[in-house]
Amino acid sequence: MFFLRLNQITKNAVLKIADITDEQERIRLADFGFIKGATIKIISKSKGMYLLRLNNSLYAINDFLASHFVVEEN
Amino acid sequence: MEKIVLVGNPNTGKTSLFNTITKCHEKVANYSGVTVKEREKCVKCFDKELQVVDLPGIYSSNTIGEDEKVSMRYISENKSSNIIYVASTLDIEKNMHLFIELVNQGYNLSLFINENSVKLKKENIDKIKDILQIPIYYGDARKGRRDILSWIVNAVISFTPLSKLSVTYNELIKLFEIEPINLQRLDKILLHPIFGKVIFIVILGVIYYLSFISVGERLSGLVFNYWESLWEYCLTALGRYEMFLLIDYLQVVVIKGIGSVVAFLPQLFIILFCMYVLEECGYLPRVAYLFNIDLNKIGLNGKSIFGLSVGIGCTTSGFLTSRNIEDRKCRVMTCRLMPFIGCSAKLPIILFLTNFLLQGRTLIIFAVLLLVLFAGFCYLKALKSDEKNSFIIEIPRLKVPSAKRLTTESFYIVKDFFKRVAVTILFITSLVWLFMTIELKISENTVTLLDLITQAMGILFKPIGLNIKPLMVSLITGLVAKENILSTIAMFGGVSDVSQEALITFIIFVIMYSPCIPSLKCLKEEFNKSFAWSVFLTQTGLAYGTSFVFYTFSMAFGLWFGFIVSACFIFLGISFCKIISMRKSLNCKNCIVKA
Repeated sequence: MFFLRLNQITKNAVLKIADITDEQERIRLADFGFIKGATIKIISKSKGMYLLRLNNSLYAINDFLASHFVVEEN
Repeated sequence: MEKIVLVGNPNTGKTSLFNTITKCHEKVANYSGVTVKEREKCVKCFDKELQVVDLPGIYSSNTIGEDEKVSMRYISENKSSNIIYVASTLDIEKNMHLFIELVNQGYNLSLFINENSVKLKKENIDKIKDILQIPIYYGDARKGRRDILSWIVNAVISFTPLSKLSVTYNELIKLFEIEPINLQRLDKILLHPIFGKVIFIVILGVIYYLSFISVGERLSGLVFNYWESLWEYCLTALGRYEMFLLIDYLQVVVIKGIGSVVAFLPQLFIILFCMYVLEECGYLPRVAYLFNIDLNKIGLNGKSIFGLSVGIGCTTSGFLTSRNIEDRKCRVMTCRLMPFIGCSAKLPIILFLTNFLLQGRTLIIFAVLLLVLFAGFCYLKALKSDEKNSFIIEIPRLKVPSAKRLTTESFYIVKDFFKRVAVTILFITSLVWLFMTIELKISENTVTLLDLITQAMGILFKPIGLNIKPLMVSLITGLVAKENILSTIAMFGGVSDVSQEALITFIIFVIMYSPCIPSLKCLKEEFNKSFAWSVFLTQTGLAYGTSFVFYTFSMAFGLWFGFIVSACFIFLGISFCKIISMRKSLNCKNCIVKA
């Protein structure tokens, strides 16, 4: 089982959130449902931006925010 | 009177429900952050009086944005009110988090499930009703006013709060049986990093072509001719009674002054309708995703697109919409860029001058708009810090907007705009007409009050070639409301014997100088007094400097040379100011070290 930062993932994958390193972002992202143990799917990745599926919603996040996510492959 | 409070996540249909219940026409769109402050309206139904309150959307009771704090504060101060929690079938899984949080905090909640393009099974709704034991309404928030009001009066008002939920979040979500979301086929093109941006620029071009060149321009001409012919009968009647002063007032203030704004209304309607279509169908969050990285280079983020696109209609509304940007620095930068983008009030001035005085040379106008945008971007680049900021936005499902509802909404916005603006324009143009009419005798010469005022103002405007009475007066009246600029020029019967260079300088000055006083007042309330003053001084200073350079060099060496030198002036001037401020901050750090 490997732990990686989300911005190190280069292809579409289904991942589990292991941690969100920034305290303030952890509180803010919890409101959207991005919590430890949640399953996210990378739908698409372009330069500096990620398109993720969480529960039944699509979210766009930037590279800087993705660097706070520690994930493991499902 | 019973208070009904509408609460829920952003973009679930709270304002649509509010509009249906109260028969209002508040703005809705298919992205979060449209409602930025609470709205209240009273409505009478079934012998009961209801006070309906629409709040900005919140994701959780731990609020971040200013609009979310407004909602949470209101809910906690009105805990005993009847709260209708609005959830959407498009995002039911996310919406239920806050619902459960509020129920467990002891709030008196009823549930309104807004049916969108995703439909739920009726059996599932009945099961949920039995389990939750609260009033639940399932239907479209935009229809069935009578049924909705009947539900509110009979079920919501008489309901007592739940103390404990008998089901967990996961069990509740399973009952809804939602199909998983995926990228729609159209998203493969709309979200493409190259084609997506090209499509957006083409869409914007089409909107502006329809509004200002083809359909909009023809309708504008028809409306103005109709407005003129409407008053002809009145003027003929007054002529018979030899009431020449009143005839002059009607011709100058009403027909020309107000008429110039009336003529713009069809164009405003078309541009608003097109922007609402883009908002309602869910396209704008996709644009925010596409342009986020590019906007980061000038210190903005993708959400700035919402404020900037609304700011094209009205700068004040654009400032308010920027509340949805959580990062304060980004918000400040968006508000600083907005005056450079220009609002709908400045557009008729550009059109009038292009069509009637520059013989439709749209290439020159395009160069002016590029110059102003270049100034805005240089300014932001100078203010931008190296700090990175995070960005997250929800991408809603694409849906076909309702043409009838968008037409009605655009119509009501245009109607409100005219009502709001007509009074101000009537007052300002009447004042100017009075100054034009009052005559004074000074050493055997008869001059009007306006002549004296403009003679004094001429000292300031001569270096930039704008010491022409209609232009000077219109720039001053334009500070009250930009719509006054064209009506003031129309009062003077237009401008004649003015060089092309002076006209283009005038357009540059109009687009770049300070936003109107209501916008500055909004900035003062959103941020503080010193920020509003800094916007006023920066915009006016930059407008004056650029106008001076352009006028001087274009008169000497030609138009295009004037544009090039102005662009260089903007770049060098702003860079110079940045170097000065960097040296000042460096010196301050040195002082601290020495101390």
